[in-house]
Amino acid sequence: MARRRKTYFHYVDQDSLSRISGEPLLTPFPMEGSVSGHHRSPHKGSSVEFAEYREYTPGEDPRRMDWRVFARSDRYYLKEFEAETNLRGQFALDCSGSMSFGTPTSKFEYAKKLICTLSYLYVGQGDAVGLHTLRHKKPQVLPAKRNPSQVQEMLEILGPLKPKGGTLLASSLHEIAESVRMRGMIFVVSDMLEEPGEIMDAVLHLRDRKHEVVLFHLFDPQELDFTFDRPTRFVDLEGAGSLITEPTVIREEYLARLNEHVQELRQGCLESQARYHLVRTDSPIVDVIDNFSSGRIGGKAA
Amino acid sequence: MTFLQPLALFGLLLAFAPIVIHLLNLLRHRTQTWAATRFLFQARKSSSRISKLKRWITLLLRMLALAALAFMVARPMTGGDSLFSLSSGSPEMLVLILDRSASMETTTEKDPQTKREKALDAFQDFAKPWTESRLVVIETALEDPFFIDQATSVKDAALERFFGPTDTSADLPSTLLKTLDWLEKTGVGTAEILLVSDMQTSNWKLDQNSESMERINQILTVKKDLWKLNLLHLDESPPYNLSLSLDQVNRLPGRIEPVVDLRKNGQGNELVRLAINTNGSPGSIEVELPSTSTLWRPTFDLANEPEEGWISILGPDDFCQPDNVCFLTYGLTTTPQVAVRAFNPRANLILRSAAQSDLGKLAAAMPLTILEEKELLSHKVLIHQGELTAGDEEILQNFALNGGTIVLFPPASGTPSTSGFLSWGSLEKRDTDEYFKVSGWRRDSGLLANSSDGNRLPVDRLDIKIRRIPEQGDPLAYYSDGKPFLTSMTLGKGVVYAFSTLPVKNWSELDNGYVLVPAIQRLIEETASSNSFAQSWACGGKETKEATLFETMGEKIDKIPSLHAGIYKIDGRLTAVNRPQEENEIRFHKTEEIVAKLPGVSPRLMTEENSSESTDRSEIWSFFLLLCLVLLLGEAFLGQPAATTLNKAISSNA
Repeated sequence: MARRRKTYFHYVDQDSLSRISGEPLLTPFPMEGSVSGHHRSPHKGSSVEFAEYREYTPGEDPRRMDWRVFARSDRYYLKEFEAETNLRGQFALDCSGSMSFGTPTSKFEYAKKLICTLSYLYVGQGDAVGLHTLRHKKPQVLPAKRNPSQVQEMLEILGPLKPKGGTLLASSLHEIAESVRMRGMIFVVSDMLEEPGEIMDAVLHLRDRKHEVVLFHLFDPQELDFTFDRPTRFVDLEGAGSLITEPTVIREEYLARLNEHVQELRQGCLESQARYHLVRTDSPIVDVIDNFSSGRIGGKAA
Repeated sequence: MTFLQPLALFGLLLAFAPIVIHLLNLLRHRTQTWAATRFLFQARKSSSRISKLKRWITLLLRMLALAALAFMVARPMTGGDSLFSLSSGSPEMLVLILDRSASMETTTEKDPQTKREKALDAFQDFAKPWTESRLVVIETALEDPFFIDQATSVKDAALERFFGPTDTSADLPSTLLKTLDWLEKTGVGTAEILLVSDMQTSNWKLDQNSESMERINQILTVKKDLWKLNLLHLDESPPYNLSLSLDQVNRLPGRIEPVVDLRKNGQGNELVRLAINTNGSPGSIEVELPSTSTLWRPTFDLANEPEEGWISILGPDDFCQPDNVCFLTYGLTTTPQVAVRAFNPRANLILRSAAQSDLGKLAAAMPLTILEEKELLSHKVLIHQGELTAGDEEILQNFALNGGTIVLFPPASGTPSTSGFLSWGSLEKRDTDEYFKVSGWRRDSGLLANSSDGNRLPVDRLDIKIRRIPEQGDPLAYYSDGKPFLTSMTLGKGVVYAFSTLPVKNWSELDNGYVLVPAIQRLIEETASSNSFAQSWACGGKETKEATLFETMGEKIDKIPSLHAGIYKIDGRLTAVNRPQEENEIRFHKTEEIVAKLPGVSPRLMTEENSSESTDRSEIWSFFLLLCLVLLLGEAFLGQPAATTLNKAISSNA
């Protein structure tokens, strides 16, 4: 009897599919795609969406000239239309040891679900998705494709993946900025346990390359609430040592530091026009995507 | 502060429980893997001082709350000397040291109560808060501990003998010391001692009792937390008082001439009527008092009176009754036989002349051979000059112990001796005109006292060329350099007098007789009085305490010679028992002077108003309960999580 192949389809959140798959996930920024799609393109082309009238400059294709305007005004005008193209989404998953924290669902497992669900939705609307696993040993890169089998590819990669080692978020994002040429969306899914300044440098690098950047900052509820009441020895998941302390004593200070970290990231994102989403791992995936999606529709309307 | 349940103070150890729990918690920590340790490290690194302070304050509040709880259970009471005094609320014993001397019978215009009665009231108030303690009264007259079942018993008429008025004096350091010794002997753990007195200087004699005071201080210092001394000074002075005391009695054939010292505390000339009772026959005499102190010398004709009898002199009522009366007795006296044994022939003759009888007969001369006891049997007074052998000393000692009076003059030669009961210093000479001079002596009583008409003996005019200082006895007269001229020493029932010079020309002018003769004659008279059928004792003195067979004369009231002044027939002899002279003392110590003699003790000074400590010594556990609650509230307040708003701020963006 043939051994049954393990499937990772449970990483795709069914609630999100049933609730969100009806409407496309859009982006306010123009995207460079290879085929026609739902997203604005930086290039003008032929479509039903009127863009603008522009005075003709000698040398341009005379076929796009609007003769009706010429007939009325005796001037040469070009009628331009919006080009709509598909999106190239690149998911950057932080695979550092700290992502393994969390009960009952670790941040890493939650991140996998979020990535897989979003990938499914994007591929479903004809967009291309790719994957970058950010880790020390054997980082994997799955180039963006719009092929429906791409989701399966991603599931195959993400499914067995385990978080381990230190954080390489900022440096990895710089590498992505250098390696991904076509403008697209970069989804960073991480607990962001690096210096906010370094992270924001990497985000700005990505923005310089015309990518739209979305940060999903994952938190386990324990990290946000810090409700320990007994003396506890905290052991760092990335091997940075341990600390015995009275949680009640340092709680206030801990939360202040955490808040400061979050605020720096939030402020950095605001300044660099990146999107920041603080995600509690006890929130349903659908709510996160809904929140992400509604924000983006608003962006387009604006 | 004292505690009714001092054992509960061990609960103070509970105050360390928060620290122990904290340490145990640290030991029993759980391990938690954690992602955001960077924030923890930052938090600990920059954990604000306030957080640390809050933490320590919380720990402190918990400790204090537990300590307050322990204090509350120990049932603290106010009024103790020390916060951490380990004496329980009710001491094992409450002791009243009652000054029962005659001066304590003083009253005031406002308050008819005597000081002694006030002292008893004060003790009742003092004992109120300590219902579980045993009560003991030690008064100065009997100096025996007397247990009572309740404080009100001190006013019981049936116990008048133990707590009632007396005509005695008091020796308060001695009574206090006896009390402490008794407490020590009976193994009393905790005691509150209340000493109530008018602090009459003669009742303390601080100079003479310096050793006793030192010992009292030592004992109370050792027992500092266990035995507490409380001093109550009753210092009101009477608005008007006239005191009578017998200064001297000259018994002459057919009459008696007492010298009565009349002292009053008011100024100005005053006429007082004194009631005289002679052998039960009342009479009265008016006496003029021109000043505060008057020596009154009446003459009582005894021609129609029995050979042996008594007289009482009573002053008018005033604010201190016991000192209004004095008693005297008279009776047949026999002149004692005097013997002289002097090795210096000139001194022998002079001394025999000085001791001659009323009939002009020289005193008997004793042979200078070995002294024999039987030779002294018929004599009551021995005047001796010269060296004494060991055998002689023994015989003289026995003579004195049996009631004989010895007058010693120094040997003309010989080395200084330091042993034996009679020893002399080395020979000191002054050849120039700067002779040894006597500068001080007792003029109110004794051998060198002033004469009955007030003239003093010319003791200071004596030129003394050679002297040998007697090394024993209490000085009665001093040289200008402080060395004694004349000493006296009580030995058994007898007295030993010692002169420091000889009544011969090359030694001194004592041979002139104007000092020597009165001194020797007084000595003979004194010896005669002590052997008279009529005698005079001081109330509360050793003799009165030893008197067992006695009968009260002239009054129907039952009196005891050791406690009350009056006329008694003791062992068949008529005896006048008078208030001791020292009770006439009008000087009083301040409490601070007594306290200064007890530097290691710091006794609690009380007044009549605060002798009842019931208001002060109230339980204050409710204060500690309140304190405990306040501390717990403070701890709860500090333990409040202050970061809830922060938390919401972070999570609201999820």
